[in-house]
Amino acid sequence: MVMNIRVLTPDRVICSTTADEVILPGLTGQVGVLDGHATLITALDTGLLRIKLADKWTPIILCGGLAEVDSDRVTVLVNDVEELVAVELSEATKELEKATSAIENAETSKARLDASVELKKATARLEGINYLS
Amino acid sequence: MKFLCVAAALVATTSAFTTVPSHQTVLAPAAPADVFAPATHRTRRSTIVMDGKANAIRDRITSVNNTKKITSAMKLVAAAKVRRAQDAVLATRPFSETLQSVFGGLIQRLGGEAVDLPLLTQREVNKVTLVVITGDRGLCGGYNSFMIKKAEARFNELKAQGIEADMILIGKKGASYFQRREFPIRAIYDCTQNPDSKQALGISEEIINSFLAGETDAVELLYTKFVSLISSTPSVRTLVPFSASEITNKGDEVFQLTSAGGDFGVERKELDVAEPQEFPNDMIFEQDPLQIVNSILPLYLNGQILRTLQESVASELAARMQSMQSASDNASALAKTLSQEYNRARQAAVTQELLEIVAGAAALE
Repeated sequence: MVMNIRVLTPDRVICSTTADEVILPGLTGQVGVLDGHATLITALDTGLLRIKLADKWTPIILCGGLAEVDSDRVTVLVNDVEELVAVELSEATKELEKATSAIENAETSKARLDASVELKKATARLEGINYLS
Repeated sequence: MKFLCVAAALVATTSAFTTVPSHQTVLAPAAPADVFAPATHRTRRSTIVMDGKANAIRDRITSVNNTKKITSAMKLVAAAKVRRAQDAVLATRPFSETLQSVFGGLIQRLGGEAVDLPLLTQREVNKVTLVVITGDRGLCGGYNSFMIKKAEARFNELKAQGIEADMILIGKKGASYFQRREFPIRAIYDCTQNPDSKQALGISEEIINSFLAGETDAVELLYTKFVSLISSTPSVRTLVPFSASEITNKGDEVFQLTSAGGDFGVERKELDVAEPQEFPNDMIFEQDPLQIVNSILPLYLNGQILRTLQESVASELAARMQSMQSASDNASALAKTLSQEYNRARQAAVTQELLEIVAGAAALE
């Protein structure tokens, strides 16, 4: 009952490990994957990837990409991953608020696109912290 | 007695032309034995007096030799970094191979359907963004100035066609050049010596967001193509909008540093295109395949930018290696000419000194 997961960014292999369960931040909602899952391909949003191994969840923040699931193999291709550092919950909440106000105050459509990426990252960060603690 | 006189005169004349402390010459006639005592503190050089020019040459030789040490050290540093750059390029292989095969599979699945995505659609071009990659530092021959010239020429060419253009500058050298001349600049990034995906992501997000927001209609990338250690070409390619056929049909090029026969060399080869992946018929598409393609494109752009950054950095390092090599060679040649000149001056001084001694002795006759 193990499957392999590989997380790749353009410049390196972030992790290549076995996992019991993986939860992917799909573009149309979260996708949970267990061993023996039907082959599947999904686009990934900026969000939190969770890998469960031996009853322990490891969160990784992904910056948008693609995931491919074969029966016992998950390949995740992403633009970049972000280090999850243990920051205070209040600080992460503040960042989220800042990102939200940035998107509300965005004047050009490009500024709105930039701000929405930031908002997604802030949300993922907040979510990740909950998993760390 | 006459002999002693000549000897004393000899010592006196010699001393007049040397930097030897004066007490020795005072002692010499009083106690002739001292003349034959070993004068340990005397260096050979100081026995002959040379004019200021010869001393200047000597200093120059020392400084040229020191500079040569520095340039040859810089060359070795650059060579070591080229190797690292090469490793970085190889580290991008797993990602780009997987990406290419998944993309190929998706295009096959879409079965030649017209792929109607903003990033793949050619628009009427009214405004072009040029992404220019230069280095952060100098001392690398013509690397930076070639790129800057190329970019400026392209900019003027577009302007002549009535197309508005602006720039995204990567690397301090290009940034300072175009800033000073007040070109329209969209964004500026540092180049750094080992580009990573975070940096590439920042640049590709800027490009995609500008393109999708309609602020630019095409993005051209100007980078230095790494041909070999002694040659690299400034190149232009269109980055956005993409063409699907180029993504699936074009293999990446990699380069490899070799050290055959003690000399550094580079082999360049185009890798085979990754085979399109066969998707089983019952494969679940979590989203519309078109939407998945749409999410792959930024990944592809990111990978391409990273690769061109790495390639440009490798070219910069190779250019630096080359120019440091010629600087070292030049220093060797210069040191050789200078020491010949110095020796000639020394020889002249010796001859002159002898003539003076002989003349001195003859005057006493």
